[in-house]
Amino acid sequence: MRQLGRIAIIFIIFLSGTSCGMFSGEGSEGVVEKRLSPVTVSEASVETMGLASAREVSPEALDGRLLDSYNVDVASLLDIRVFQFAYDSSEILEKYIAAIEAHAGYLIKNSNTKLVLEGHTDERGSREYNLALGERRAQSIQRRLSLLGVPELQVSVVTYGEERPIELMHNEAAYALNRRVEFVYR
Amino acid sequence: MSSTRCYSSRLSWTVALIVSVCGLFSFETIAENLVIKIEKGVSTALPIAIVPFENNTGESLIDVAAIIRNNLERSGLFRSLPVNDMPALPAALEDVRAKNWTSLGIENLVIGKLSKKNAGTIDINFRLIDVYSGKQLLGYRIPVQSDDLRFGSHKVSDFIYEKLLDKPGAYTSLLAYITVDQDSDRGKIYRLQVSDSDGYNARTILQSTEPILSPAWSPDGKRLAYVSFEGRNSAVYLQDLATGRRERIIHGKGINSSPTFSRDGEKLAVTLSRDGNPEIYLYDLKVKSLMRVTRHGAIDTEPAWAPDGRGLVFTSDRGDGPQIYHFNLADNSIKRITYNMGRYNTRARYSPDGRKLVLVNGIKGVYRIVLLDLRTKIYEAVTIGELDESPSFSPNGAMIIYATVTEDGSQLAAVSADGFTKQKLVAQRGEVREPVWGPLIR
Repeated sequence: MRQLGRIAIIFIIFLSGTSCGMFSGEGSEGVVEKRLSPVTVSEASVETMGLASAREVSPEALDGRLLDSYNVDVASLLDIRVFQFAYDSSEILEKYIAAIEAHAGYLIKNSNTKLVLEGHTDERGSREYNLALGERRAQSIQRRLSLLGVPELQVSVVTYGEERPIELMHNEAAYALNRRVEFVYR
Repeated sequence: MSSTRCYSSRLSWTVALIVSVCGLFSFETIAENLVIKIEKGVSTALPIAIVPFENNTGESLIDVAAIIRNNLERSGLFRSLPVNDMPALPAALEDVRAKNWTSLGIENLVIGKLSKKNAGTIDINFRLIDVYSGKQLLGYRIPVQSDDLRFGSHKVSDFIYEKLLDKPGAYTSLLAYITVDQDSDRGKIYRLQVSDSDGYNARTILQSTEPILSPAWSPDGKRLAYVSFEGRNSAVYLQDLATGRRERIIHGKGINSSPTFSRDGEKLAVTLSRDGNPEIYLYDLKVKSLMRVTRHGAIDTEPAWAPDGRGLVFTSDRGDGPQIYHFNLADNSIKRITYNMGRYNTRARYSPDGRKLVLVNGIKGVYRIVLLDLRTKIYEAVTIGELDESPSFSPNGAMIIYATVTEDGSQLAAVSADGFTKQKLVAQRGEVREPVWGPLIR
């Protein structure tokens, strides 16, 4: 629901921006397009993109499904768009490997699709160092996708450092959710 | 004396306010002031009495003496006598009875008058008197425009501070910082604001729905460099304060961030990751060319110039965790600065005299502002927050301003460079972050 709410707000921003002509330049366009996704999603699957579900993903379950019936579960693996990281680390967590392989497969099959990897960090420490750390996280996934055969031109990287937290509390649970790379399809 | 020059630069500021609206899109120009709360003071502060200025203009004016009183108290170096405790309220030299004040332990007395010379102009006449010797230490007439009375009060504060402490005052200098508000329609609104050194007179010079960060003053105080994400990626912009005109000077693939000016104002040190990895570059503002400084697979970022212009400090995680390194521009040698200070040391800035670094030190999840003496290698924490960041020295080296995260989000705080006097600068709404203190206006 949270995700739906966000989409709704963004849609309103888009409407108000275009109707009264208040917004100009690339900036406001960015706000809108970032959330658009060519992957058709039903309302139910939008919810699985939410943060709560990302938190519930367990590596055992994903690995098992990958081994058993890769093709059947690719769709749900593609729903994973938020990849968390450990503190001050850009190493991809084991539990995300299946999902990254699913995204790689999707990108290879849909060569016109572009993917933007948005790197983020938690709020602790300095902003500029975090900007660099966010980029390093996104690059580590970009490298993995490239090793899986995704053409380099299809995947770009942008870092926001600590500037765009999804959780605003100042505790470890919030920090863990904010240390992430988001997959944004264009 | 330079008071008239200051005055004219102030005029151009007013112009800047009007013109700078041509930023990203239209917005209200009146911003909310920061409210300053002094949290802790010292008892060794110098006692001073600042008598309310006699108002001969026939108009209702702001309380000039109160602004001066607040300014001096904020430094932690002065203790001012409350108006209610004053034995008399003299405005002219001949009305001062020294004994009235010496019996209260007051050594320094400030009296003054405000008068109208012609329409729109107010004269501030003030005198600083040593009541023990009976001598006038200072006496000036400062003409200001009526709406610049607050600036005039800061100018008087600078005079008093410099005369009694023999160091330049920084009250007429300006602060720049970023605010973030949640707007119900547009989502997050980021603003780059500039205010007086006491947090008043806040003016928005840029507003965006995308993040703005890392504001940096040019050494002449006329321009601000900053990073804006308005084009979906970081880019470095340079904005002229007087005209509001701005230019996107560095953009491209990867990170374009962390600008800081060289002392001569001719170069910007920046962090760029166009070659795949964050490295320090120097951007020549005249020739518009880039020169690469670092070349290492680690993160290199947050460059800051040494006051003598001969080197830079920067953050790199080439060792164990992020640490501060020094780059010598004469021989290109790199030397690690932070040792035995834990595994997280970032965002260093030099003190104006070049003897100290102020930086962010993280130990066991607690991030504090630390002052490191470059000669003795002794360091001490000057803040007690859990998530403190972005320290910046006042241009006279007396104060350090920084951002501290509270339950209400990020707010600004300042601490005297000796760590004794702390104050919070609280925004009336939203978050405030990344304060940078502008240069002295002479």
